[in-house]
Amino acid sequence: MKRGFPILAIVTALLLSFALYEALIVAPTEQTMGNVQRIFYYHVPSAWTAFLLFAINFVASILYLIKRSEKADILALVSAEVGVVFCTVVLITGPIWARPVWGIWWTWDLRLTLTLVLWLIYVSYLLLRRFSTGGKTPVIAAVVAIFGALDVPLVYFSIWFFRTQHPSPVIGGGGSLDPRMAHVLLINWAAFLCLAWLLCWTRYELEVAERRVEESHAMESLMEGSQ
Amino acid sequence: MPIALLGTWALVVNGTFFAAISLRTRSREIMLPLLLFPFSIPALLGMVNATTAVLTGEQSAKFWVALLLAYDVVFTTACLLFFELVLEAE
Repeated sequence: MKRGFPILAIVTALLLSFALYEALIVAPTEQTMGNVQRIFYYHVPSAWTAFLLFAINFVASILYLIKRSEKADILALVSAEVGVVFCTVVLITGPIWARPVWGIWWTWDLRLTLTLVLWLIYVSYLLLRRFSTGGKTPVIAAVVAIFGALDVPLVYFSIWFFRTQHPSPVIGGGGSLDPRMAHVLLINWAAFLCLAWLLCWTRYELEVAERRVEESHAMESLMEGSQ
Repeated sequence: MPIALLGTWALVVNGTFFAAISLRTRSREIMLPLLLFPFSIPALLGMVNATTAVLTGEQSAKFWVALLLAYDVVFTTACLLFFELVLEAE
């Protein structure tokens, strides 16, 4: 591991605790929803981080198809894995918020359904990576990742045509957000981005090490076979 | 009528493509539906909602037909582009 790693870890820990303090104590209480609204500071940054990671996955997949470099393949795998984690956070915090505010855990509203679909797509992508055989896994996985990324814009443009039960997007949705709340939101997002970076970094190094071990095992059995 | 055509086209294109992909996997009987279903949900949604709109006449089906059309165009192009790559991945 490089020297930057512990620094990033410390920065992440500090930012996360600061963001927690900001979200729970500094941020003003919402007028109608009360304290329940504070989960917003986790829900929205996780969603943004997840989208960003899926975008990285898309770019890395294209890069892999063009250059066939192992690094791009590992990056695609790692960003999909961490992205699924953040998407899961979104899908869990959403219902927790919806229960007191809407009175229901889940509704088959377009936006909720489509987030679930997004999650399903990337879970099936990870499953495919686990289950496919032979050395061409990365190629197939990259193609599937690009297909998944093609699904996303179709899905997200449809939100603009419909008024859904889900609150409109904060950015570009014409929603009014208290500047103090926006400030807390951005701090939380920064913290989540650092956390995502840290996770990706760790997972990346782990995957590289795993592949090296596998290679040396393969070499060993090859040597034994030839003796 | 155009709904049936577009919907069938979407399912056929994706089905063929993911069949080619799942050829390369272990336990392919499980992997095919697992992969195909999430990727086809937008098309399925479009078909169901367009048909509902036409039958009940409450709202316009225009948007859903446009969604289906966009889905067909995008995925047909992508399938044609990547099909050889996937088949040759031996």
